[in-house]
Amino acid sequence: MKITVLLKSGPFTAEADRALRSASDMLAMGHSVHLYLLQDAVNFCRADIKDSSSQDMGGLIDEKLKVYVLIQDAGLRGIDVDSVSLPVSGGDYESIVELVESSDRVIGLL
Amino acid sequence: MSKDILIVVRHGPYGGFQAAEAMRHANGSISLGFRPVVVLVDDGVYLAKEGQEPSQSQWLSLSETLEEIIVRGLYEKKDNPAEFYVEQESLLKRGLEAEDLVEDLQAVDHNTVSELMANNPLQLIF
Repeated sequence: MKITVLLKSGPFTAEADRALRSASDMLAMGHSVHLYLLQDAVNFCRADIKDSSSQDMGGLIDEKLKVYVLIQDAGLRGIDVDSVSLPVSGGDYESIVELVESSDRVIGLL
Repeated sequence: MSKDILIVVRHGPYGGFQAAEAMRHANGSISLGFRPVVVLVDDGVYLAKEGQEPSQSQWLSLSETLEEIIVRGLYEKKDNPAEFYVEQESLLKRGLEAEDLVEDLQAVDHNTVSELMANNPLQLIF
């Protein structure tokens, strides 16, 4: 099943912890999990932030979690998606709509 | 067979509207013929704590509301009762145990919560 998780805060929030835990569980169940970072959640891409949840995200990417970042929200926060060290994909609002439309489940941790 | 609706409550009862809205939607879903599956996680587990005393404040003790919804969900639809869960890890982090909570909640682990979220096409997260 294709599951998309929308996250708007992080990395130091209960929402982010919940999103990563759910993503981890769902990956372990064999689902295809996609995480879209919006608003303050784009801070997961900052190389200078190192906490357990950002490390968790790296581990989940290794386990095939697909991570997307809203370019507009990243730009607002001074983050250049093209220079992010994590393997994330930048996208615009249309890409969110396309992802949501193509998913079997959408979980909004907003 | 009534349609299931998963209601995940992440926020505690005081300081915001989310938990109260979750209870309102759970109660309304029963009235509208849905079968609610209510899951308390993160600060949402505080809804279920017994002995809350909001007294003269502007807030309501949602534990009593939750109890009423549990009774409705379990006994109004005996042939297809609602389900009420609380996440064990969220309880542990907050120093709570099952005996601190209102009755008829089933403690489950985070894997079960994620499974419910993956399997229910209709869900609301508060």
